[in-house]
Amino acid sequence: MKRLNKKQKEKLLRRQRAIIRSRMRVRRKGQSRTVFAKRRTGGTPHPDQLRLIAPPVFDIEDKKNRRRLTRFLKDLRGHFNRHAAKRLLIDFQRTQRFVAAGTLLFYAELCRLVEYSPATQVRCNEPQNERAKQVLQQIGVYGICHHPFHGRTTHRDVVHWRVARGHLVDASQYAKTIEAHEGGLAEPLVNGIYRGLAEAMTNVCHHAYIDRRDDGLDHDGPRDWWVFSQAKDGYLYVALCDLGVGIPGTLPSTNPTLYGKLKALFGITPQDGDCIAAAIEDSRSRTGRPERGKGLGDIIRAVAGAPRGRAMVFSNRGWYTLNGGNESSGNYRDSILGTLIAWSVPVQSG
Amino acid sequence: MNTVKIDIASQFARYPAGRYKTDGPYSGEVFRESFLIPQLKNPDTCIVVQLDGARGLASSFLEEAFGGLIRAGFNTQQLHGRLVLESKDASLIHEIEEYIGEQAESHH
Repeated sequence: MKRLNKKQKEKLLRRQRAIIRSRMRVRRKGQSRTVFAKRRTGGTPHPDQLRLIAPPVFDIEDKKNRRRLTRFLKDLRGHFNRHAAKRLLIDFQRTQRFVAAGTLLFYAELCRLVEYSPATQVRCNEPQNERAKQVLQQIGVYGICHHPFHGRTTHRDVVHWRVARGHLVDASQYAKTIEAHEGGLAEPLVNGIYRGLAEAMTNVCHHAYIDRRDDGLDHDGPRDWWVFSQAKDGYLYVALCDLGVGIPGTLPSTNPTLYGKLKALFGITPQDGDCIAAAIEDSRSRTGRPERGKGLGDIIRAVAGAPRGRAMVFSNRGWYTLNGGNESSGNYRDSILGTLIAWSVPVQSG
Repeated sequence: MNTVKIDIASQFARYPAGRYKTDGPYSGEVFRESFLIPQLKNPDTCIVVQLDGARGLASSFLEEAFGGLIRAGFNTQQLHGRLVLESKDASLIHEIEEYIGEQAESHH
């Protein structure tokens, strides 16, 4: 057998180390996105802490962003479900942007999970992006994660973010989030938004939680709603979210006639987007007047007359939007496991 | 006939919302039972309901508060001339009249 000289031995060792590193990378890719966190000082894994990397953008409208966010939320639920005894570190360092709808969904999910397993310790770090860093402070995520934030919320876009939460249909709980902008809104728009929110909350109380949510937690959870408002770029954005079974999930019991028609028209199980669009259309047709609706129709009515107003409904995989009077609907691949309704209306400055 | 004025915004809630008592403290059912029915039980009283000022009078609230009067045993004759609705928004008054009419038809 040929004896190796020192140089050849070193070369061989380097190659072997490279192979081992490559195998480790492949193995890590196949594992869950929850990884062992390293101690800041050492570099050795902390045995009782798992790290979950947050997506770069919290958004549910763009397909790619939505897929990343729903996967992240699934992993978050998975942690509370399977590793409740281990401490969780949510790693926001790569997060660049918080879009209102996606952020509200994450916030609601985090609140629900913390109540599902109060013993689970959740910690987080701060995003590198300054605006993103302030958003987490403004909406209270640092508080939930017991993270000491030493900065101040100063960013113009961020200081107007507001969140509210409740389980009753009580507008006084979220009125403050809208009152601040009332001076810049036309009167019918203000009334329309309050009316839409009140009706959406009534729907949450009556229907959203009629069945257990299909999130693998085997838990009924709070029957809450979460409201979010934000003033940005001359628009007021208001969103309401629930973590129930979604409009497509409630339609068979709330409106079996309509669901039967949809089944006959689209096949055994109608798609979520079709269910939402049909439920809205049905609620408007029941009033006999297209500009007015009961229930869901009331919700989108808020912006029906506003030239630059927009209403969006996301429920499970489906979406519906009314934009400047034009309606459209469709489906995503990933479900948000709940319903999020949002209004965007122009605000006059001064 | 006595006239009683009920201003929803100042006497009941600035943000009335919800259908049933279980929905919240300012629901249509609460308003009907606390404000409308006690006054309408007196045959010599006419009530004038001021709708303006209240934010977000949604369909579930209005239907339960006013359409619910028929379910509570009143008929359209008893309400005619004794329930007066006031608002700058005529469509709101029309909407409430529709709810009362729909309930009266289904109770026939």
